[in-house]
Amino acid sequence: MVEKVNKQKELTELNSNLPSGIFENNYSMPNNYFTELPDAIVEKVKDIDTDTEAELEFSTFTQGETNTNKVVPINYFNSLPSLILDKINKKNLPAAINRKKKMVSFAIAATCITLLGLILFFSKKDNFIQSRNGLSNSNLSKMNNVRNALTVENNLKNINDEEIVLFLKENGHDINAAVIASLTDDILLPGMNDYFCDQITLNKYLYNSINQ
Amino acid sequence: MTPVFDDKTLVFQFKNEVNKEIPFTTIVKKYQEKLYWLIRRLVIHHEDANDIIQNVFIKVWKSLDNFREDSELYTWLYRIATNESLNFLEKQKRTMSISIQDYEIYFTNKLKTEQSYDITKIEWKLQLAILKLPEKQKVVFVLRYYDEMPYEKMSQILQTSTGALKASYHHAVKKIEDFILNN
Repeated sequence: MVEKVNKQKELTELNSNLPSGIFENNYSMPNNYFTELPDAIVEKVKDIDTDTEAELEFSTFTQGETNTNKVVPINYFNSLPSLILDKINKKNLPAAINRKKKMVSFAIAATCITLLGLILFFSKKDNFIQSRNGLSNSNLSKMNNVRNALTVENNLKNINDEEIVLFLKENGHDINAAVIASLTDDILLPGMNDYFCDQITLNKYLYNSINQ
Repeated sequence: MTPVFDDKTLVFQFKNEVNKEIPFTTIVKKYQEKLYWLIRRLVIHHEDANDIIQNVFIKVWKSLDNFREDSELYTWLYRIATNESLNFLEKQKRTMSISIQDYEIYFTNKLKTEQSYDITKIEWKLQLAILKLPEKQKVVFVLRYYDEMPYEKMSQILQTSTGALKASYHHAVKKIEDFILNN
């Protein structure tokens, strides 16, 4: 059911102070505008109808038969295929040229990228080789030292005590200190629990060990 | 005495009689003022409103034969008038390529050129305030406030739900009140 509008009531519900009265339309307009408007509109629609009729007459003249809806030039359908082909060819020409241009620019871009890539590759390769060499130059000596150390250790195992003493004497080392050091074997040292004795006991133990 | 025909009869006469001018002229005379003032309040200038209303009725002439009558004639006419007005405003905005503020100023200046323009009068203040509203809200306000159109009919014209229309109208009332208070 369509509501009947009560403007005043609605405005009151909205707590609005807008006036609910009916206003005169204060806009200026030509005299007798509404009296003349309907006739002016009817004249316009008659003009529209007249134009449509003129189009129909023209089409009748050109087609030689009543054609109520369409206006078509003479020989239109005979010439249409060639018109279309011309348009297609015109459209394709610039497209073809553009395609060739595109291919050339793609080729140039690809060549540049390849060259850049090769330059980068070879420069990186040299750096890589250099860095490899650098690596061997800086660390190879360390590796060799380690290898040497291992070799020394193996060789030491093959040296007997007499040879060691002789070496020490020749080089001015204190043989006694060297003996003590050799005797101080980790295995012979007391275990952790044994160190629970006091410092004095520990010192005594060590003194005795040295003076044995 | 000239017989007064209802809309259905007028549409029937237009569709079925050889002389369409008589029922058409009757329709124009019946609705010209309502449609004119709706359009005028949106576009302000008489010349623009005149162009639009003539376009509206020319469209009616061309399309009335195909009018399906699933809505009332008056709803259909209002819909055409609203669409023509909104299209006109949209086209004008695009052609002028100005900001929304400048657009408002343009229409405000148009309003001020009216001979009887008097800012102290509430009617003119209302008109100025309406210019500040977004286009669709303008239409809703004008239809409800000036034409006292029910929301159900407005819904058919603007293809919007009655709830949305109520909300739109309420917002418009508030905005207009604020404008009048501050100006």
